[in-house]
Amino acid sequence: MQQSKVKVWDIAVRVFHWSLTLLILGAFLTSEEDGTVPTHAVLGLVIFGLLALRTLWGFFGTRHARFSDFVKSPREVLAYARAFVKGRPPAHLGHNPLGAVMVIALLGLLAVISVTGAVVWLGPEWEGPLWLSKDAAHAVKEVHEGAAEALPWLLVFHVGGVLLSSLLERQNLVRGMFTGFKRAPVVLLGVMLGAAAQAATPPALLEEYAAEARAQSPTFQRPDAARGKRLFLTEQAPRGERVSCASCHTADPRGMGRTPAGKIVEPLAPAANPRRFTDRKQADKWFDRNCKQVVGRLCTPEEKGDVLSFLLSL
Amino acid sequence: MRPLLLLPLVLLAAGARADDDEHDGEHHRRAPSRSPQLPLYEAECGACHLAFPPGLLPARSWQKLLANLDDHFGQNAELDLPARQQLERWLRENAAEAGTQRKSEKILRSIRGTTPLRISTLPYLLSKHDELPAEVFKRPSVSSRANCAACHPDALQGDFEEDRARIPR
Ligand code: HEC
Ligand code: HEC
Ligand code: HEC
Repeated sequence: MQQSKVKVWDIAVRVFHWSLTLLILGAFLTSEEDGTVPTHAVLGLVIFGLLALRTLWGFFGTRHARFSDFVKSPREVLAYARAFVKGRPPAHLGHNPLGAVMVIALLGLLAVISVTGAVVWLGPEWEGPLWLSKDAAHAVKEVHEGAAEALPWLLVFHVGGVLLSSLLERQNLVRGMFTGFKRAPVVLLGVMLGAAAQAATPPALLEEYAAEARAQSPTFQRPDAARGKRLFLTEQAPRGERVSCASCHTADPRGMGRTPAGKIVEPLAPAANPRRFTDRKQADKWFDRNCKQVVGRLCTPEEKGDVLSFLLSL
Repeated sequence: MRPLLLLPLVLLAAGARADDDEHDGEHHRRAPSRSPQLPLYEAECGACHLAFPPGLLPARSWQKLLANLDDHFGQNAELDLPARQQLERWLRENAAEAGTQRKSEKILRSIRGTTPLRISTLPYLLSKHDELPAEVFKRPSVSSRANCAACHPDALQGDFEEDRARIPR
């Protein structure tokens, strides 16, 4: 498969990631002895500063650093989680939706830890300037310690998720966080560079889907028109109402279809409508939308290839 | 004597009709104003149904529709953020409040402070269509009250002129 390296993580994201890793390690090592607590406090303060910068970068940073690039609705996270469990997660250049949940959880937990830590440090136990009752100070300390104990667990899942994703995507994601580059299938690259408007042909698109399916699952053979036909005609009811692709595109996708709102849908089969599957972005948008509607989740590259090969067989 | 008695009645009726259609009345003489167009809007919001003229709903309705595209009348119509923001701005600028449609003002008055999500069931349109039997909207060629273009051929341009309305079989 043709592959290209794509710059995904900018320098700020990478420096943040690895300095945070070291700072957290340091904070753990300095948390036990009274003598090291001043160092612990300084590390905590730096962590807090980094969190603030990262949050700002999440709004104004480069594309994959932004929250809007990776934070997804609970429904999408669930759909991704299901595909992940099946071992066929759809490709994501930045954080995948589950990884995004981890990012937010880690940022949130670290914020709680550093803020409560600062309160403890400035409170009566360390004779700081902050006036707090003994009980309140104690409660804050409990939160600080409880959250700090939860952190290693989250980190275990974080590292586990990265390793598992590396396996499924067959690329070293840890190295990606050092170099900033991830391997992207050419097609993803194309979409990323806005080359989606580039003229494509339905058979070329079929090849792209097949290549992606192969990248995700080494056992994948080739798109299968019969499987695609089954997916196209099978009625499912993810939202209560029974629908199939044929509900709008009709059982013969060479003919005109109709949406629930009554509008005519031009034929889907390329033989009857040469404009179909000539723009990857357009095809993917509708695959995403309509698969969610009918199957209740995104279609995998394998399934898209199957459907397209069914449509090309007509 | 009789014809003389009838005259004021006729005048009264004509007056009432002119009053009722004060805006639509001049419509017959002037070319209908074109509803504002935006290619992005037609591409994204015109795939499943008519790209409804923005002047048929107030800005707050468009705002609410765009905020809930993941569950849009049971359909997924999600957009990426830049597209949604661009549409949000354009719909706000061309909503009923902007008076882009002759009917806008009447629609606003008829819904008072509410935030309707449907155009087809606006009180104003229900009353415009109250002479049509409910059955016609269920015909396969129409299939939905929201399928304005089935009966109003120039609906995309915001032209709902009753003379040009045709009910398909
Ligand atoms: C609720 C109605 C509806 C259902 C159900 C539906 N589609 Fe569609 N589909 C549409 C509409 C509307 C369009 C876009 C209109 C247009 O481009 O003419 C579309 C467009 C597409 C396209 C875009 C092709 C291109 O390149 O232009 C693909 C691919 C597609 N549908 C696949 C599917 C598949 C696969 C299913 C079943 C999983 C499905 N659709 C179910 C309504 C539907
Ligand atoms: C995937 C298909 C799809 C897309 C894309 C879509 N809609 Fe809809 N929309 C529907 C369906 C289905 C209905 C319900 C129609 C019905 O009940 O007959 C609807 C209804 C509506 C209605 C109410 C119609 C009425 O009854 O008066 C409005 C307004 C509307 N959509 C606006 C939008 C806007 C704005 C966009 C673009 C952001 C959009 N739609 C994109 C499928 C879609
Ligand atoms: C089943 C066919 C049909 C559908 C669907 C339909 N209309 Fe109409 N509409 C008509 C007819 C027929 C008239 C003329 C009514 C009369 O003269 O009593 C009309 C009248 C109107 C008028 C009044 C025009 C005037 O000159 O006063 C407006 C406005 C209008 N429709 C808007 C809409 C909108 C907006 C939609 C979609 C949400 C829609 N219509 C859907 C058939 C339809």
